[in-house]
Parts: sequence; structure tokens; C-alpha cells
Amino acid sequence: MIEIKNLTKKFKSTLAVDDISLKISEGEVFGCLGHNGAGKTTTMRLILGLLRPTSGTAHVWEKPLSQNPHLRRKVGVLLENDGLYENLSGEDNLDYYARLYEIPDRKNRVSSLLEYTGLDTRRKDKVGTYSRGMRRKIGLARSILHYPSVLLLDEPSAGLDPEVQKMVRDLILNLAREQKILILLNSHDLDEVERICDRIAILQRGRVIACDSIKNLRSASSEPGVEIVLDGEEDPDMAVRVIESVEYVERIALANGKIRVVFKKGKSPDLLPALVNAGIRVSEISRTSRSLEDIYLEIIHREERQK
Amino acid sequence: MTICMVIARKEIRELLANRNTMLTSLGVALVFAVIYGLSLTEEGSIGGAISVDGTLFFLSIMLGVFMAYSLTGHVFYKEKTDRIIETLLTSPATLRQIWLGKVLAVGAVSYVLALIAVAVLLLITAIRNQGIVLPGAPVIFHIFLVVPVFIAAFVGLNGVAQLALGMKENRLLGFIIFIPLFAGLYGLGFSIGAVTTITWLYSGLVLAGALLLLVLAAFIVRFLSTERIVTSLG
Repeated sequence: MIEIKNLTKKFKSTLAVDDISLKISEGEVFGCLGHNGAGKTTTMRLILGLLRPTSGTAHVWEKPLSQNPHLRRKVGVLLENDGLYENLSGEDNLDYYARLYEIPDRKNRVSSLLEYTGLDTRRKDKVGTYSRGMRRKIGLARSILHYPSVLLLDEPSAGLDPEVQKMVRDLILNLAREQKILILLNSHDLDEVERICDRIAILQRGRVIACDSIKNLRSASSEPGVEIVLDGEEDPDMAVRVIESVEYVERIALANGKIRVVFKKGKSPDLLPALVNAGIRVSEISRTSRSLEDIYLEIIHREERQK
Repeated sequence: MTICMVIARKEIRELLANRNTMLTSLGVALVFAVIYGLSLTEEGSIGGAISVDGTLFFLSIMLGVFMAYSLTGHVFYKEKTDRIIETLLTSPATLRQIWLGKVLAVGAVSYVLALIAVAVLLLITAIRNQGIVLPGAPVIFHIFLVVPVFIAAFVGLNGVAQLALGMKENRLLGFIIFIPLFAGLYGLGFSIGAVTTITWLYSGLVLAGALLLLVLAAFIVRFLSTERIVTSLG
């Protein structure tokens, strides 16, 4: 389990992490979102013990990793750099880390991971000859080589093609669901985060400005509303005029042949009878669902307005 | 195998896999061995144990340190520029183990290169003299005990500096070390090789100095922090 309490990190006059408190439980996939420089990587480095906190604590199983090399045996890490040596082959790289972590049955473990990543045929080639995606795959294999209970991933699928992205995503989901590994993930890829994370924290200027499950964030920030698709021959302007007359309608937007209606907070008027009574044929009506991107941007902009 | 030895083994493998670096280092070692070997014989002092002793005494340590200088960057500095050190620091290896493993690796490879140079120099003198010229006991002691300790001390101190310093400072440090090292290797050896009688006192003093430097390197590594390394990455 990872527990961060009032964590602060200052570099000279720059406040990189500002009083962050988080608790991440076993088996949870936790995502950290934020712009560049928001403090995601610094927080991860503080958890890993690569940096010393200015104040506060970052503990894994109630202890700081910096002072407990034996605890580091249970933690897997994939940072922005894959941690691979270009002059060594993929197999030799994995073998090196397997020796460092003193993995029993080292050769079989390395072979099975090479097969899993689909790099079995390139096992003897130097990593310097690998593509970006292949390096990331080997990097990911390296991070789980020693059967970690906690896995920290910094932008695991950045710059990868969709096929490798999917492989990374499937692997993360598999590790979390079947092996109950705690996964902390820093990412810019909102789609990836939405698909795999149980909870997220949004960081801005070193502070956590939102932390919850995606479902809760969506319901808290979503404006209630519906999207209406009219029958092909209907006049949208006419429909808009009808909808405007309905009580509790906040605003209406017309785009791409769809009418998007936002209701006043807490209200959910039924538009269909009004449209039908006006003789307008509706082919589809559905509740609007906001993407994580919408929620993220809204939270970030709201925070900036408050500053 | 201990973590130190795992790291040392990997570093040696990686150094050997880097053919350009190894061939260049070997080439430099051989060039200096040949230069000194030929100059010894040309000066007509081939039969004099003094010249052979002095040259071996000087060449073995200077060439070992020069090799260590050129290889340290591939093992310490490069791991910083490639940012791999960050991943290594999250492994079960402690900073001291990482440092020691690298010191052992660079020290061993540099020492072997210095030994090759010594062997080539002896071979040249043997060919020119039509007989083997063996160095005196203090020089043999120097080559097999003092030189590896001195190389290890140099690598240790240089390694700590490379881990602690930023990229610009590291380049400056490399320049500062290179000039006197190369000048010493190229020029100073001729005069020392020709005039100096190598006694146990010389070997003992150099050993004492090497041990002192080694202890100093082992002492200052405790002041090196992961934060210092991470915040000085390229």
C-alpha cells in the first residue's frame, strides 16, 4: 500500500509538490493526470526514494523505500527511460536485472517474458537496434520481472503505436485484476487512464486538485442534459424553438445535426412529449455523457479561474 | 553472486561489447608500450635494470590510470546521460554497491590493459636485447599490488565525482584530468624511466598513497545521495 502524507518538495524557489496526501490500496490502479510540470514525476520519484521530501512522508507498506532496499524488491518501476543498456541484448538486459533481484529460475522467467512481449526472435539483438515500441515492451517486462506487488509506471505508453499501447494496457489490467498488484500510473493519455484506472488524481502546480473515481468525478462535474437526433426531414430550428419553451432548460446547442440540451442543475425535464406534441419526429434521444478529457479540462480551467 | 559482483560482471560485459572503446584503449596501451619499449633500447640502456624498472614503474601506473580515466566515463557518466542510473537506484542495489561494482569493473579492465602494455614493453626489450630483462622485486610488487589499488582509488574518486556532478561540470572535470594525465604519460615517463632507481621505499610510498586515496573514495561515497544524482541528470 502507498500512503503519502502532506508531501512537499521544493527545488530552491520552485515548489514542485505542494502538500499532497494520497492513499492507494492493494489491487488498485491509480492514475495521476496533469500537464507537464504538474508534479507527477516528482511525486513518483519521492515515493521511490529517489528524492528526499522537503516535508511530509511517502511510504510504501508504511516505510520509506529509500531506506529499505529489501522493500524495493517488491516494487517494479518503469520510468520515462526504459532502464535498458543499448550495448546489451534484450535477453542480457533482463538477465542482468533478474540477477540483481535474485530471481529464482531466472532463465525461464526471462524466456517467458521475452515470449510474452513477442520479442523472442530478437532476444540476442542489442537493444540499441530495437524500435521505441520494442524497447518499451522490454522495459515493461523488466519492471515486472521480479513479480512486484507494487508497480509504478511513468507514461508507459507514450509515443507507442496503437498495437503496443493495447498490449501495455492489457498487461496492466491483467496485473491489476488477476495478480492484485497496486499500480500507480502517470499519464497524459486520458483514454488510457479512463480505460484502466480505478481512481485518478489530477495534479496542477504540484497540488492535487481532484482525487476520486472517474465515475464520481463524472457525476460531480457533469451538467445534466440530452442529445437529440431529429428525423432527416425535420427542421432543427423549429425543434430548438420548442425546446426553448420547456422549463428548466439552461442552454441549447446545435452541432453536426444533433441538438445538445443542458438542463438546470438537479433538473431533468422530459422533452419528448413537447417535441411530439409539436409534430416533430425524433429518431434518437440520449443522455449526454462527458469524456474524461472534458472533465479534466473543466477541473483544470475551474482551478485556474479560482487562482 | 553478490549484487556488487552482478553489477561488475555486467559492466565488464558491456565494456567488452563496446568494441570501439576497447580497441581504442588497447591501441593507446600498445602505442605507449611500443614508444617506451623502443626508446629504452634506442638509448642503449637495455641492459640496465634501472631504466627498465623505472619505465615499468611509471608506465604501469600511468597507463592504468589513463585507461581507467577513459573507461570511467563509459560506466559512470554514460549511465547518467542515458538516465539508466535512475532505474538502477530503484533496484535492491544500494548506492555503495552500485559504486563498488562499477569500480571493480573499470579497475579490472584498466588493469588488464596496463598489464598487456607491460607485457608488450617487456617483449620488445627482450627481442631487442635477445633475452628477457626481468624487473626488480619492488617493481614486480608495484605492478601486481600497488597498481591495481591505485587504479581502483582513481576510479573510485573519479566515479564519485561523475555521479555527483552535473553534466557541464563533468565535461570540465574530464578536461582538467585529461591534460595533466596525457602530458605525464607522454613526457614525464622518459626522464623518470631513465634516471630513477626503484626501491621498496618508492613502492611502499605509492602503495600508502593509493590506499589512502582508496579509503578517501570509500569515505566520500557515503556523502553521495540519490537525490544529488537524480537532480544532476542530463
